[in-house]
Amino acid sequence: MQLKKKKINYSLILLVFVLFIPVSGLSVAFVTVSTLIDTKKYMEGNKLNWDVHFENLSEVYLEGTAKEIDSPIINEKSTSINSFRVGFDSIGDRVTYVFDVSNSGDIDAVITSISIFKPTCMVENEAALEDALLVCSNFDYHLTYLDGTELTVGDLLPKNSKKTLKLTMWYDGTSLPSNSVTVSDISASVIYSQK
Amino acid sequence: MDGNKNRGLKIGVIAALVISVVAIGIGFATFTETLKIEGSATVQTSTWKVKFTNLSSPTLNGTAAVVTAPTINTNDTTISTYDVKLIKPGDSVSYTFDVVNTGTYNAKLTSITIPTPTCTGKAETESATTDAANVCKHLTYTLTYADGTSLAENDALEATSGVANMKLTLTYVSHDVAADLPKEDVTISNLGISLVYSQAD
Repeated sequence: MQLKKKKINYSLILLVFVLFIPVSGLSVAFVTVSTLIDTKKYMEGNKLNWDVHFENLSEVYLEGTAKEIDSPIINEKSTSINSFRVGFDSIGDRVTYVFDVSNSGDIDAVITSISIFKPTCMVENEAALEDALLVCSNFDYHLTYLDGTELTVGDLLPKNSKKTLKLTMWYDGTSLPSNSVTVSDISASVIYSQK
Repeated sequence: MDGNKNRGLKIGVIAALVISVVAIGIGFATFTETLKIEGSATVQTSTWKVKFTNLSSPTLNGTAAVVTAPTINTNDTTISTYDVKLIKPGDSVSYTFDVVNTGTYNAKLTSITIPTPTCTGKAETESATTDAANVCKHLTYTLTYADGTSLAENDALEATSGVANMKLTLTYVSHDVAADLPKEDVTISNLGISLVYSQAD
């Protein structure tokens, strides 16, 4: 009697396995794409949009002998208030701008980052460096909500709402510089993200 | 032939996996917005500047006349060279002007000097001395704020925008004593008034 070696058809098993994987893979891909399409259809149908921006920038509020040299400009997208220039002539002078941050979109927003930059003081010649130091020691600015409370990461800005902020700058101290000093880098940035 | 089929299937699997990973990546994108505020400031030098300004035209009463109008000097710290004529009792001349503080330091009035006018009769006349005395007897020379209140030491003049409106008046007071009328012209001098402003605390 002869024993026949049964040859297992590995290639058949391999073929089935290989066929099974692509089918499963295709199914997963199909589900994902399908979900994406469904999601997209949902978004288009409900017209959800993201819109956080500045609005209602006030006229400048001046205290003491402070003055506005250049008014601020809001950019086209209303995401930047810049180019303002103010002047301080006396100790105690103060300048304030008030504006709204508006969430006119359909998605709740939350503050995820706040950056307040340290101002830089510059003079025209090296002999006046002490004046620069004096001014930078006595000049400060603050970005808060209108009632004076601090902005913090995690602050919520719900959809279809707005909050009023104020930017206040002041010069305190006991003396003015002997030479005019330019204060630059009066700069703050707040990042709002989808909640 | 089976080998080519397997290879094709593998390519299909890889493509499907790539599509699904990309699709999932797109599905998880997050909305953010960065709002920025940016500007600059200038802190000016400290300055001390208290000066005269807004000298008016004269107010003339009676037959008073201006011979030479007063002027403010280039430093804006002196009003001088005016010459007026008073002819009859009751004549007067008034000027108004402002003292302003355009500096960055608060100021205060620390000294007021209003001299007594000097009257000098026409030289080489018998009546010169008498005339001079009689005119000065009926002369008033005042410096007040425009509303009539008196100047006083420590009166404040705030930095940058402080303004004090003042009025200077020279009057030959009305009287009916004929004997006191001068027989000749009398020159009135020593009319210089000095105001000293100093930095306030």
